[in-house]
Amino acid sequence: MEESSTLEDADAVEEFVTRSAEETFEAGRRIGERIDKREILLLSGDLGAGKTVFAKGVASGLGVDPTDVTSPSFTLINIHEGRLVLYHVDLYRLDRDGCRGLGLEEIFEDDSAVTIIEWAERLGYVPPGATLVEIDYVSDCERRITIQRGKSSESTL
Amino acid sequence: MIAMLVLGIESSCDETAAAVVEDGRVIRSNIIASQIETHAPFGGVVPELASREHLDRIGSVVDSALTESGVTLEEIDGIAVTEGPGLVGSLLVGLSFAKSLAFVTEKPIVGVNHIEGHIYSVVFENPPVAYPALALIVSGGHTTLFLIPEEGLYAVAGRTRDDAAGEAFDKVAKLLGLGYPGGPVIDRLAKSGDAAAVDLVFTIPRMTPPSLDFSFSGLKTAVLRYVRENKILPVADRNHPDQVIVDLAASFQDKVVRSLMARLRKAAHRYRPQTVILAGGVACNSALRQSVAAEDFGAPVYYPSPVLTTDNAAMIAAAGYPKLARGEDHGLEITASASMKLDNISLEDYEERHVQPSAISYQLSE
Repeated sequence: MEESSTLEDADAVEEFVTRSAEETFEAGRRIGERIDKREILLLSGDLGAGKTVFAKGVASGLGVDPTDVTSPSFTLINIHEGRLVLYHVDLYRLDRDGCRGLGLEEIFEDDSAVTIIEWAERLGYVPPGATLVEIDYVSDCERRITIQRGKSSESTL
Repeated sequence: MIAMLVLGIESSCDETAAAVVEDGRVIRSNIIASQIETHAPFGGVVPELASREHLDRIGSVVDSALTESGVTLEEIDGIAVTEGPGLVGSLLVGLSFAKSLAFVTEKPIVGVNHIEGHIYSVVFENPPVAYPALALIVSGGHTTLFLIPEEGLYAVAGRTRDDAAGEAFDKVAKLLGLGYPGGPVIDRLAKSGDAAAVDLVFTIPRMTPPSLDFSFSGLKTAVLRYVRENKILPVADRNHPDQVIVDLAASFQDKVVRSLMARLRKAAHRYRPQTVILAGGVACNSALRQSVAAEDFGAPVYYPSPVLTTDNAAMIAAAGYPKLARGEDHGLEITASASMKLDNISLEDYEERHVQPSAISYQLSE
């Protein structure tokens, strides 16, 4: 993985390329390790891009056993107990109206909760303070990960 | 002895269901109202729709289950209701309804794990389950291999590390433009496809032997890669897909079935079960059934008929029966448990006491 800057600056954009699923996991883990309070990670990327792998990494950094972290596509929300409570959400099967029934707003308000949302573009908006993580397919084993931190106000995706 | 009648109620996902079951293994009625048509335009479940639909239907579904069984609410001996895992909003509809019935009739009520329900879906059409049993539950949300040393005790012997098998079917079907749900359509196409015509190369996560865990995410990505590299377009006419799509469906299904079979075979070798159970939505898959039927596990394989592989309340009533028969009453405090686990004994402890080290194969090949 190429060297990455820290995520401390609001609106800073970080971009790097991972060359295996392990590296994508590791990128997630490093971010997870640094999380110590409410955090919302909005993940976007095609089918097979590695969103769940990245989420497993974040979970691992939060002290959750990554083998417990599986795709929430069917169950929609999986809850894990780590250093903080982790809500792992997947909007793959939903459209914008469907997202309203999930009760995400209540989760966003929880000050001690970490929320990872796969297929976040289906949410239709960016919750305040959320971090955008885009995972793009570069080649068979390469992925470009773009992380945009600290959207301070609501905006549309 | 007078028969024990259990009213089962299930609303964890797409189906609103109620059933009356006698003595834990005779179905007196089994009513299932499916939301698949409601959800089809969205390609899946819409939670808000799901709870609303459950709410609209639960009353009439329970009524029909009682009417069809010829049993009155007063004659019911106990109520079994799904408490998890599932969508909280959906689970709450069934739970609240069941609890109000229990309150009004002053009957005992027990909460049932939905997955335990699937395991009990085989009790109606097969001889009694002998223990230890091995159960492979494969559905849209789950792919788990359970070791069941005796009734009511569960250890997870293997589970998916990423996508559930049914989820992989749904995602691949969507990728190929085949619609939702993906399982039945891929199963149908695969029958006229040539699995060998499409070589899907995929990796699974590194697992420490003797792990029996599953992984289907890499296979999904392999299908995606094949589609990209060969510039395959989603089908225009679902009734007449190109041969390459048909072959791709066959190859994908073949890989899923092989993966499931390999773990099941190893587990049977390791735990020497008296019964092998195959249940959950994907247990309907004809190729999986054929493979399982052709295999000698040293124990009979029980699976439910198709209507009982989907979510239903008869299986919930059957799973609740032994609890109610023991005199359990979980009372009105039962709440929905979205991420409920079915794992109440340690696999390591069991293996230490019951498994010969030689039965544990460290081979990585399948």
